[in-house]
Amino acid sequence: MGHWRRLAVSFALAGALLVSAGAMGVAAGTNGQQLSPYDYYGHIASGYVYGTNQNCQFAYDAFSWPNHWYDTSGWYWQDWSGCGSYAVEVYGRNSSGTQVGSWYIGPPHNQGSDNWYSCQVDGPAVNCLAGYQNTGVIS
Amino acid sequence: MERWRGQYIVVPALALLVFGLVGCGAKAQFPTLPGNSSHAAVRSFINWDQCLRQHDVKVPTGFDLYTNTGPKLNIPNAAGSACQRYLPPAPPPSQAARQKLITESNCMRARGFANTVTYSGGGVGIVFGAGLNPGTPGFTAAMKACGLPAYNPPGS
Repeated sequence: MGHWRRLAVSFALAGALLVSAGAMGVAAGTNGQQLSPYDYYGHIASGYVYGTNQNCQFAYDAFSWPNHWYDTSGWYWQDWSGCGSYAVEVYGRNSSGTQVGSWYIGPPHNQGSDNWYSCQVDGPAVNCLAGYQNTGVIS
Repeated sequence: MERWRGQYIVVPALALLVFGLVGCGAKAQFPTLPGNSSHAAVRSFINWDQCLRQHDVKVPTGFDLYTNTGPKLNIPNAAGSACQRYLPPAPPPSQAARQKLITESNCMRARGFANTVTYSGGGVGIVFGAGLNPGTPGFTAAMKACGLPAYNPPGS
């Protein structure tokens, strides 16, 4: 009886270790927003983001973007004067690799219940909304 | 006779190792769709397709989720959002993209700008050390010399 109980305790501890390790791997930022870009006209094939991350560090994220359902998850961006914020900008490239535009976006510092920020990145003026949005057209 | 008690450590450790290997393997070997996709990715793709059908959206034959080539697909936002959770994970950055970024990162570091390379969510990127930004003397020139794209904030 004692043998099985000790074994069960060992497994429980190992499981807790596994869960906590996993949680560390996907730890969310405490400030800023994840970016969900979408392209209404389907012109964007890849791009990159420059700006300030959740820790007030200047960051650069290059992403290939097969379609607008995939987002730059795990990156948290913010425009916040509290850390001398550098403007967050998205740059889009077409399928030939030519830059087709750059868009200033202003992801807020504070996180609510939803830390996603959605921006249309192929319009004449960028449209950003709080919350998750994955609309658009593949054309 | 003293009983051996190492099984309380060895057995859970082996279990952890097996789980860890399975998890890492699945992530490292993730293929693209539709070509040599993993079973899990194909299953996920099928679920996504079925979900869309339930929202009256039909994924055309030959549609390639990852390369965005072939037949085109327009998904209303409500259907796209409802079925988002079934999407297979985004393809990992290509080896070429990773190597390019590592080269750029090393170049910036060699010029005195500490940084770390980061992979996540289908992207590869560089996070610079605290206080290092385009306002730092020499930073923008180093970006250009290292092949990083220009940063042009509003009003610049």
